[in-house]
Amino acid sequence: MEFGNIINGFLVTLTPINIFYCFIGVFVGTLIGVLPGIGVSATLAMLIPITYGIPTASAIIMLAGICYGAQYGGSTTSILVNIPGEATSVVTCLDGYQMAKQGRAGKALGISAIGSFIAGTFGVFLLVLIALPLSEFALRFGPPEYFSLMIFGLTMLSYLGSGSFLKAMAMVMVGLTLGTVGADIVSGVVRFTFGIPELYDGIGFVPVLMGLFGVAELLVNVEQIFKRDVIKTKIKDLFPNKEEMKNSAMPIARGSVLGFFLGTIPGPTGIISTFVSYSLEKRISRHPEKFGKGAIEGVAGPESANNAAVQGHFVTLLTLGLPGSAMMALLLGAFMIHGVIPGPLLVKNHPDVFWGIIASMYLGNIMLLILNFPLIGLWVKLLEVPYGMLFPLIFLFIFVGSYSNALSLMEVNITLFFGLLGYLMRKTEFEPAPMVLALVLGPMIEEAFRQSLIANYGDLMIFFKRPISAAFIIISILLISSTFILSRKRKKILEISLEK
Amino acid sequence: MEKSDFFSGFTLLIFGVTIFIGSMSYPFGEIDNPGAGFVPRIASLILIIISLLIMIIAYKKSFASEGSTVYRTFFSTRDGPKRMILALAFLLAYRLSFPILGFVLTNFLFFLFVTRSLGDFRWRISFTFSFLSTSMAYLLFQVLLKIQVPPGIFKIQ
Repeated sequence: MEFGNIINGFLVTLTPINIFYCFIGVFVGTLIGVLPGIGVSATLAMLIPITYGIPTASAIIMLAGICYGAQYGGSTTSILVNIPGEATSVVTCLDGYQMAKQGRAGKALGISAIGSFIAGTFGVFLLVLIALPLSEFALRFGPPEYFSLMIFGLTMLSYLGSGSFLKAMAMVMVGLTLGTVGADIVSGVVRFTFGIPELYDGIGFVPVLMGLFGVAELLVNVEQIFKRDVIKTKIKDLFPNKEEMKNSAMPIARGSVLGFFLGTIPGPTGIISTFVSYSLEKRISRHPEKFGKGAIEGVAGPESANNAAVQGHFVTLLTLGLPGSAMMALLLGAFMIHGVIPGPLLVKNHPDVFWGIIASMYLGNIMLLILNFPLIGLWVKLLEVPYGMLFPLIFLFIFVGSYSNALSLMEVNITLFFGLLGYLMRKTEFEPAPMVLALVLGPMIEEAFRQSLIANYGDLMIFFKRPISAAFIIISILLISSTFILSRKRKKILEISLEK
Repeated sequence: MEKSDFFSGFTLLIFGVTIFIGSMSYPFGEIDNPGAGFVPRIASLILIIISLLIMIIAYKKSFASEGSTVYRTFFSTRDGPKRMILALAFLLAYRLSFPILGFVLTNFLFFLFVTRSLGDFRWRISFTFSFLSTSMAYLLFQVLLKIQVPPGIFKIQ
C-alpha cells in the first residue's frame, strides 16, 4: 500500500519543476544554515509570499527542503567558526571545532553530512511507516480532541522551552488574543480591528513572523560587530576512514532513532535531541575523556539527531495538523495559504501533496549529500561575507516579502512593529515560538472549543469524557502543575542552601 | 527573573486589561453558545493573572536579593545602543521613503548608508555594493518576479 503511494509520490516529485524547487529549497536551506544570524523561521517567512504563484506541492517541497537543508548547513559553521549556524548545531561546536583545529575539518564536515543523510533518509522511512496509521487514527478526532491536542501542543512547547514557563504561557495568551483579531468565524462579529480594513481578515501571520524572527534577529545581530574567525585550513579528506566510520556507525544509528522520536513531541525537541544524543554518546563511550577534544562520535550523533528530528516534526504536522515548533507553524501557514489543511484528511484529499513531500525528502537528502561535498569551499567563502553587507540584503528580502504579501504598507508596518517587539522579547527572555504557535492555532482552537460546547450543550466535561481528549488535557494539567511543584522544590533547596 | 521582568509583567498587564475591557463590547454568549467575546475575555483574564504572577515573583526576587543583585546589561556590546538605534532608524527611514522615493532609489540609499555606517566600509566599497545590490534587486523583484512596487516621485521603474 505504502509502496504504491511512494511510487506515486516520486511521480509527483520527479517532474522537472519539482526537482528544481526541491533543489532551490535544499540549497537555500544549506545557505541559511551556514550563515549565522539568519534562522529557518525568518527564511520561511520571507519566502512564503514568493510561493503564492507556485503549485502547492512544489511550494511545500521547496519550503520543506529549507527546513531539513538548514540542519546540514548549520554544522559547517559550528565546525569551522565555532558559532552554530542553527540552534540545533550548538553541540556540534564542542567536538567539531576541536576536530577542525586539529586539521580534521574535512572529516568533521564529512561525517556530519553522512550522518545527516543517513538520519534524514531513516527519518523519512519512519515517517512513511507512521504517517498513514496515525492519520487513520486521527480520523476519530472531533472538535474536543482537536482542542485538547492543540492545548497539549502549546503546553509542551512552553514546558520544554528554554526560558521561564510563566513567560511562555504569557506569550501563548498574547498569541491567542492576537488570533482573535478580525471577523469572528462563527458569528461574523469584527473584533479589535480599530477600523483598519486590512485587519478584517485577522493579523496576517506572515508579517508577524517576519517581524518576530527576521527583523528582531537583525536588530539583535547588528548590536555586535561580527568577527568570524574562519579556520584557515585546507579542507581535505572529507570521507572518514574505516575506523572513524566504525566509531560513528552506532552514534549515527542512535542519534537517528532518538532524534526522530523526540522530534514527534511538540517543542524545541530538535535542540533537545542533540544534547541528549551527545550526553548519551559520552556516557556509553569507552573514552569519554575524548569528548570535547575532537571525538568524531560527538559530531556524528548530534548531527544525525537534529536531521531525524525534522522528519519527526513532520509526523505531527502532516498527520494531526499540529505544528510542534515555530518552523512547523510557518509550514502550516504555507499549507493554509495554498488552501490545503494538513491533518488526517491530507492523505485522502491531497495525496499528491502528501506523498510528493515525502518522496521529495528522499530526493532532497540525496541532493544535500551531493551538494555538501563539492560546495564546502563555497560555504567557507560565504562565511567571510561581512554582516554589514548581509544586514541590508536580509532586510530587503523581509521588506519585499512583507509588502508583496498583500501589496500593502500596512503589512510592512506590522512587520516593523513585531520586529521591535521581538527584539525586546529576546532581550527580556520571552520566547517568540509559543506566541507564534498560539497565533497560528488560535482561530482553530477557538473554533474547536466553541463547536465542542455548542454540540454538547455547554458541557465543559466533554473534554474529560472522551478518552483521547482527556488524555491530552490531563497530561497538559500534569505538566503545568509539575512546573509549579518543581519551582517550589527548587526554592526550598535554595533557601536551605542559603541558610547553611 | 530580574527587575526587567517587573516591567515586562506590567506591560503585559496593561495589554491584558486593555483586551479584557475591549472584549466587553463583544457578546460573551452562553456556555452552550459562546459568543465573539468569550475567548478574548478568557485569554486576557489568564494573561492578567500570569502577568501579575510575573510581577510578584520579580518583585520578591529583587527584594530578596537587594544589594546582591547581579545586573545583566541590556545591550551585548558598548556600541550596542548606538548601532541598534542607528539600525532601527535606517529601517524606519526605508519604510517612510519607500512610497515617496520608490523601490530603486530607496534601496540604493539604504544600502549605501547602512554599509557605510553599520558595516564601516569605505565610501567606494559602499557605493559599488549598493549599485550592484540595487541592480540585482531590481532584476529579481521587478523583472523576474514582477512584484509591483511604488515607482516613487522620480518614476524609476
